[in-house]
Amino acid sequence: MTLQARGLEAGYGRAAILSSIDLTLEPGGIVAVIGSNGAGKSTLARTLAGLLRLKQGEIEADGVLVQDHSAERRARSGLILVPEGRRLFGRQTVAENIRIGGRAASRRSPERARQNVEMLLDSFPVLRERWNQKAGLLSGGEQQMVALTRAVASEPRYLLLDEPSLGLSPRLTQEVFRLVTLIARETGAGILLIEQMAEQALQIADFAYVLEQGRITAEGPSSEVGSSEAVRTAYLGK
Amino acid sequence: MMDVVVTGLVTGGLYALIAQGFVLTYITTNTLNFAIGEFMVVGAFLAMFLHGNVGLTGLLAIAVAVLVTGLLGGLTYRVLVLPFSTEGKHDTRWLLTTVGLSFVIVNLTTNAEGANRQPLGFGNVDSIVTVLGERVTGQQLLLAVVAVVVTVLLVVVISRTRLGGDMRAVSEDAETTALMGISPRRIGALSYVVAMMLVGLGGILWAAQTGVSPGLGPPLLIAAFSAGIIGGLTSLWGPLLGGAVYGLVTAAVGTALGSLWGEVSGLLVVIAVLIVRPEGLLGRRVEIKV
Amino acid sequence: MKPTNSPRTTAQRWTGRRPGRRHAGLRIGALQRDLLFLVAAAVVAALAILPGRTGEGTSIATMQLVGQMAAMIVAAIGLNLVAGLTRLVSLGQGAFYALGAYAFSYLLLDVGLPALPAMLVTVLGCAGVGAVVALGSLRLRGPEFTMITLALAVLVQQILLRWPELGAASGYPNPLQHGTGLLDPVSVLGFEFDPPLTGGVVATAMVPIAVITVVALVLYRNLCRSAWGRSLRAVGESDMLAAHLGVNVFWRKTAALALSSALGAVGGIFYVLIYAHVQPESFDLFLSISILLAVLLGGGGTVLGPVIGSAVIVWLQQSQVLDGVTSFEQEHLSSSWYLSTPGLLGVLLILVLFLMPQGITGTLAKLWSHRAGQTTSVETEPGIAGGGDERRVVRLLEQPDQMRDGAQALLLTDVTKRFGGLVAVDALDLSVDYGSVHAIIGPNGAGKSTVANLVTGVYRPGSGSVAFEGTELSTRRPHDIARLGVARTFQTPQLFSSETVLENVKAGFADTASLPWWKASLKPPGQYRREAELDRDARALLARVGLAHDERTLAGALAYGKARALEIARALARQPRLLILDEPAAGLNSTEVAVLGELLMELRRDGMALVVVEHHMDLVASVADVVTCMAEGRVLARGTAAEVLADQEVVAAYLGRPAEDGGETLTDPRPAGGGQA
Repeated sequence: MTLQARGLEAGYGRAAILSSIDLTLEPGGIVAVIGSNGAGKSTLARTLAGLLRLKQGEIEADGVLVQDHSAERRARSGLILVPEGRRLFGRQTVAENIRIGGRAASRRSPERARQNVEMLLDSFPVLRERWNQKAGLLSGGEQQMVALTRAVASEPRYLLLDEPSLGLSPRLTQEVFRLVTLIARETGAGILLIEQMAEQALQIADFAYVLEQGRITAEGPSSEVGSSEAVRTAYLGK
Repeated sequence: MMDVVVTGLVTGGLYALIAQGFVLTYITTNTLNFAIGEFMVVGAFLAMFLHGNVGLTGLLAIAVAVLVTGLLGGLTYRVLVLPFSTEGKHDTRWLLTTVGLSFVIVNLTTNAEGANRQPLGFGNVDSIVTVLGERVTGQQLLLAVVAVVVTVLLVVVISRTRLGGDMRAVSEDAETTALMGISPRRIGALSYVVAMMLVGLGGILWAAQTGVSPGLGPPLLIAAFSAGIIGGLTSLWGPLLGGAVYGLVTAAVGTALGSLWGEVSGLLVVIAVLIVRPEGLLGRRVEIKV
Repeated sequence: MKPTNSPRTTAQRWTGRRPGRRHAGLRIGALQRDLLFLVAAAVVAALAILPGRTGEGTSIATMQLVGQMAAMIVAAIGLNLVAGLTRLVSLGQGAFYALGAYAFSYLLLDVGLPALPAMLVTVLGCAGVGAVVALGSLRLRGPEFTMITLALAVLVQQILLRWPELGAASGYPNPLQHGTGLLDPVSVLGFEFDPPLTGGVVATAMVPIAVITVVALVLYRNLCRSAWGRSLRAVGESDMLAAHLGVNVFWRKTAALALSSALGAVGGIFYVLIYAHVQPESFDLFLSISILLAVLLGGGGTVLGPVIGSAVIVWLQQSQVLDGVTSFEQEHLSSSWYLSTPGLLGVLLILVLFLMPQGITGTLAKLWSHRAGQTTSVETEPGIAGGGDERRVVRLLEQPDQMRDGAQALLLTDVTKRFGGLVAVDALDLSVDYGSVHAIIGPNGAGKSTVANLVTGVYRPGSGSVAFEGTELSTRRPHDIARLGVARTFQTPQLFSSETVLENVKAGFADTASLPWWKASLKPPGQYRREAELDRDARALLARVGLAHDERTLAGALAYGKARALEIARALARQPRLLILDEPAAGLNSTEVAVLGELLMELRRDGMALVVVEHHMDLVASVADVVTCMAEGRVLARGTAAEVLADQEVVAAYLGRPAEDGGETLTDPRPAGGGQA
């Protein structure tokens, strides 16, 4: 019962941005993929979610090869992406955003998804206050909370988070990451935290990959990766 | 004076109904079916065939014809629009394929049925109704009422139902909607089905009054298209307003200077709107991102 | 056209290597090719009208066919300027064709103008209408532009169908209103040009048709292949890209539409010369579609595609082929449900879009250049890394006075840019000197690219000042700023993917924005010299970025690193004094990054001012004189690369931790809320 990518190669047009990516994600765990901008993080997220066709390799979710499945089919089977920049439906209310997230769960376990959403709303009551506001009018931090709640409404088995810290202050990043841990613990979803903010991401992750120029240059338990030189090199050069 | 207003508004109803066929697909897929006039023709011929040759009763014939026209619309989306709109907003190949389709349909129906008008033989409200002291045909009034009812129904469905929520989501961000497990392509196909059903209905009701011929479509294509542009292709209320404006302007100028200048003035209004407010009177301004 | 200095030695000096056979004698080659084209076009035209020399009745149909082809060709090459090169799909070319035909007839008969002035007024008038349409519609792109042209086509036909003075449905002229159904033969300087209508009369009208077609073709071909044509392609690729090449997009589009309309009108004039009578139903939407189909079928954007496409379409319409298909359908499929010519052309349109999106010539050219591209890439040499000294041949910049080393090039003072509630750039100060590299680094969303966009005029600052050599940029538009001497590259390389590498670089020269269209199409001797110079300079630039052996490869077939190098070469073509590179190292491998670093150092030595938005720290460390690290729109740290990369706050911003030794507290001075995870 895992999400596995084997030998992924992907990119736009002729350019290959990712090559020979292997990674594994298990339910209930938080795995970080860290790298500086331009390393290929979003390409990885989009490829796993099915928004970008891969050129080579396989993606297997719970024993099923999904690389030929459309994005919506992957979402319905519980492989959920929170895209970079959150991409809320800004003209719709918070409630509508979260309700539409539930569409991916509607054929599996809508009831459990609803409970999980309630749980999140209880621990972040600010969203209840914003319930009927247009999502486009919320602050960056609130928007990220809505995006995460929307994803939980989809009852994810595997949740891919593409740079949830984007544009947030370190304090807000920390709050968002607290929410991520909560989601992992309460929903049992496997979370792939694709992040630039390495230090904070490594704090909450169990395992980590370092992505540099489209390749994985280091991997291991996050404490080891954090103390290795690989991260520093990937960000600040040699 | 009053007669011009009434005639304008009532004929505007027909335009609005057809324009709704543009707006629905534009909202969800950013594409239009330029063969929309020909789908009116198809609907009308189907109804005539189902009533005259198959022997269905009037209402049943209309219902089946509308449904089949809708399904043909869905097929058009799948075959001629979707594969030709893959490269972003500037990809306008779908426009040419649907124009190509319109030539095919006009040609096919002309060869088979001849260019002359044939009476539909049913479905016409055979009466003259007085509105605000002016006499209009019952059929035109029916079309105007249908247009208003359809618009209200669409607005209710889209703002209140789950399907409507999906459609609004697709319209805002199709890619992200796919991440919610909703297929933007299916929503697009559905929009085409519904849109062409409306167009087929409009075609049948119009042909019931004027008779059906392969040339029925093109003049209405321009009128409906004008109504859509004036009102705004991103607003469900747009066609009603646009249809009314276009109907009024063409009727007013047409009465004063002759029908040619009526049409010319209508198109000039369209061009003016495109220049001053390209998103239409009720349309949403699309932000330009670099 | 005696060369002022030997091209061979010049080329040698610029590229630092012995010129190959292709390079030597290039100027003469270009002239020879153009002459050859002229001769070939003239011969084909002469052969085409030859069957009509006797005036036999049997030749009438052929002459009408040839005349229609010529009309379609001229209208289609006009449309190609707009729909092919500029990629504004117009369904209105038939309207200009119709306007041309009616205006010409009316001027001849009712106004009584002689033929030549009538022609001139018609063409200029239609160009004027085209320009007016352009002025109104050019803010629009994509479907909206197509719609407005469609509306125009319908409008024109409605008017013609029903305007009584023009005969309405009876056509113009008609016996009832004008006493004759046919215009008198056009006469110029005493020569009468008879239309191909009656047996026994030689269709002399075919001569001016043939001559004008050949002249139009030659001028059009010159135009397409000139810097002016390149500017249209640039607009077609993206308005923003064209503006950054210094092109005033708005006026360029207007000019293209005016020229296109004028050519459409010429098509209409031909029609009148052939039939001496016009009928409104000849100019319906189907005509517009046919012209567009001709362009697409032949190959939109290619020079000769529309010519071939027009010939094929007219031949299909007039010949028995489509009728044959029709009777086949009638016999084998259905005697009532069948397609005849218009329907079959509709099917053809769909099929072309589906099977041959690049048209006949586009598809052939692709095959050919694919082969050519392979052969050139087989002879690859060391390539990008090879021959450092040879690549660095000359400084490309004639250093003007203001470029003294250390003089200030760019100064941003207190610049703020907001997008809605988000502050992308917050009170930023930044200065860049000549002969230096200023790197801007920072995490995603820090506002780095916004700075690049503020300097090049894509965005206007909400407040503050952006000054280049003391000139305020914040109120200027991108093409103005480019002309002042600012060039840039984009985060994702924006190239003309279906053009060769050499053509891509040539688009970067100032000529793309400055060459007037009439000079481009007349191509006086000076233009040959200039083109040769452009070729030579472009090759030197390619050599400089390590692409000397890829000049004939299609840009779309380049590997990512080479595409980036090509974009830099194109940016350098204009001889900018300030160069802004947006993430130039993204997607490059480490060898390529090293070569890029060398190139940047060379440009710096040449005295150029460089702004490099970059996250590749090795590159930044090796080239930057000053590094500014931004976070959340503000300057976090500034100094040498070593200073900035050692700065605790910078490390924190990148790694999301407060200090080297890991985090007890956050850098944010506000109290950390929400508790520890």
